[in-house]
Amino acid sequence: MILPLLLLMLVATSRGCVYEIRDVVFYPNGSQEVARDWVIVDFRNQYGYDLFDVEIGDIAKVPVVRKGEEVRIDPYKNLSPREFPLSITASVKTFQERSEIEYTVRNLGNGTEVEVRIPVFRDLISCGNCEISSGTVIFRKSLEKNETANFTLITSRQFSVPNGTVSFSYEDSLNLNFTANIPVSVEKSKSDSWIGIFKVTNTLDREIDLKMVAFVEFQDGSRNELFERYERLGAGESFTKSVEVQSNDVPIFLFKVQARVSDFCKLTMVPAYEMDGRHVVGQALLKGLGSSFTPSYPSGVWGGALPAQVTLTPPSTPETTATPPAEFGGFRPQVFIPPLKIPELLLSPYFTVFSLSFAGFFFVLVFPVRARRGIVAMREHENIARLFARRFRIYCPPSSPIGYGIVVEPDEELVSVLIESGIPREYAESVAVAAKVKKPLIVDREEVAKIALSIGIPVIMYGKPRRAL
Amino acid sequence: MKRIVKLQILLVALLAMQAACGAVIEISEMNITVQVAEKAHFRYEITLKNKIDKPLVPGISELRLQKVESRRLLLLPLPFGEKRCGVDVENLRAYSGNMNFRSYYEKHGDYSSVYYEIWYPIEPHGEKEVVLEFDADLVDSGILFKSVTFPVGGDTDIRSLNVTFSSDWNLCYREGDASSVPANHIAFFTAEFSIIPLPVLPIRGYLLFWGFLLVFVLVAIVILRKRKNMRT
Repeated sequence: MILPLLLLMLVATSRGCVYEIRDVVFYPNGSQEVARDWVIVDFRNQYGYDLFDVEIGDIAKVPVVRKGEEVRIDPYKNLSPREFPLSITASVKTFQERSEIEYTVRNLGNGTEVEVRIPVFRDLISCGNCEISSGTVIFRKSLEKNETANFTLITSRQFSVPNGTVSFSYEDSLNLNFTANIPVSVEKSKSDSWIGIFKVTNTLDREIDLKMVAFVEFQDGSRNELFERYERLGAGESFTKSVEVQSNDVPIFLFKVQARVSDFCKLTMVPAYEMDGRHVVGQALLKGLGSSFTPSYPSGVWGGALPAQVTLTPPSTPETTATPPAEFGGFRPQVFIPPLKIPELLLSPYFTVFSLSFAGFFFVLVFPVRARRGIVAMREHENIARLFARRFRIYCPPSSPIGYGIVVEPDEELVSVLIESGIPREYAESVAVAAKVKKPLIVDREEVAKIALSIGIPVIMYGKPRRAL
Repeated sequence: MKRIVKLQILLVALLAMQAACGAVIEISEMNITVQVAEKAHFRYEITLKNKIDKPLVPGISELRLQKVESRRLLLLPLPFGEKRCGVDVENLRAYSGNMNFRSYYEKHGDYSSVYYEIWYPIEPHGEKEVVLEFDADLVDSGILFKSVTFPVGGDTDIRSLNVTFSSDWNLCYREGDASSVPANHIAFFTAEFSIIPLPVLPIRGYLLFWGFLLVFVLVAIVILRKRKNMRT
């Protein structure tokens, strides 16, 4: 049956990604009325690694989705109501002692299984191409695109068909784009000139699109771009490039990498109808119809005279003019639902990836080293921050101040959002301070570094050596 | 000097937008925590239960607030006469775990409505806990006493109800002990706090104040008349 399958999709395994729910009523004259149309997100990260900057079509953007994590987003925006590519039309043939109501179900969208349920009513005699079970007339059929199916209700001459329900669902796909951690390294050596070797390895199980920009900075603060490349790497592939630089001073090589993965996500469109102020999901209401007159026949004529063929209009016709269901396919909802309120200013178009080393104590500078710049640090990083104190302003959060630092009040809204991402308050405040003052952040926890990088904050990793991803 | 304003608070909770029997959904448990300070901080922990065998979207729910202000004689509240008006709500939030719901409030003349919207379906016969928090200027504050009164009820059955009051003052009066509220019924809850370490009293503090004042005036009149008679 459709409904248990739908329940399974919505509730348990949730292999879907986005569900569009439309509050719709079908009328037996082929029209439908859509009252409300909204989207919910139910996305589970089954990729085996953390995802960053996840974009689900035009619907939602999620900063971080951990491996195995499920993201559910309740919307606050409605879509413009759109009709389903399904029509149900009833036509009536009236005979002397009975009437035949033929329902025609036409599918104009992708293939779907349609189930129509009408409660057994007093005037019902039998049904054709359908079954009667547990007090319900049930018609069930899988319809391909542009396919039509019929079922018939045999009733007494005068009849009143009650409201029923129709169950179905349509599927489409949405673009799913995200970023994942891949190892990036910069090696520096010297022979006659300084040599920078830039390397990126795709350790993911799918293709990635890379935008790479390399810079060199000198002690006088000047910066030159070495190269800008766009590459697509397959799973397991690497990109390596070496550049020579002539300089009397020790240069600093910078490597900015933007890596995006493109995939698809399932969009499931289901109907709903309103009951007692709530919305029952998975079914639409199918309005009933009744006979308001009995056509007269010449006496003595039965079986030979032509039956009167009447197409009845339902008791309550919607005010809006019924339009044919639009061709369905390639639908892209036009709403953006940010699940976490991260200020737009923080969503930089690229992020800086830090490189990891197998050596002992290390930190990697990935930001321009300039005089009178600043960095953000917490109290527990006071010793390392002291190394920068001569040439840098040290900023710190109020929950973890540094004696010689400048305490900056973070944006509480952003702090709340970051805490919800699973990091402690003092780290959340330090990330928020870094976002506010737009300075790099000293951090020793990988998950904090990932979150900071995902919102465009350069990071200085500090601590024990870690294995490269 | 702090202005003494006697406010009789009326908080009407309607837990469904549509006037309906509410047969498809009920509130299996509702815990209300009211923290009484300068303003009242309300925290509603509402467990919605889907009673049918299909996924159900609760949609828009509504909570109504109303402030009932007593008439005053100079700065003293009078135990008769009242006026009703809407309430300003601050710091409104509705959430369930890490899922936030849209919430907002509107003033409608003599009452205010707090709305929260849930568009994610509840599984068949399943439950969903929603937390609604907000601050409202509903506290009737005075020099010695402050109180808050609100009713709970709507067109949805509330199977289990628990109301808790807290304040840095002493609880000296409490009224209302309903543990469940059927649909289309209302239960009232009142709590009064005193800066004086009073025990829990059988009557409201402000009534006690007026009682003492009345007795004091009567005794004073009697004493003055006796003295006048003695002089004459």
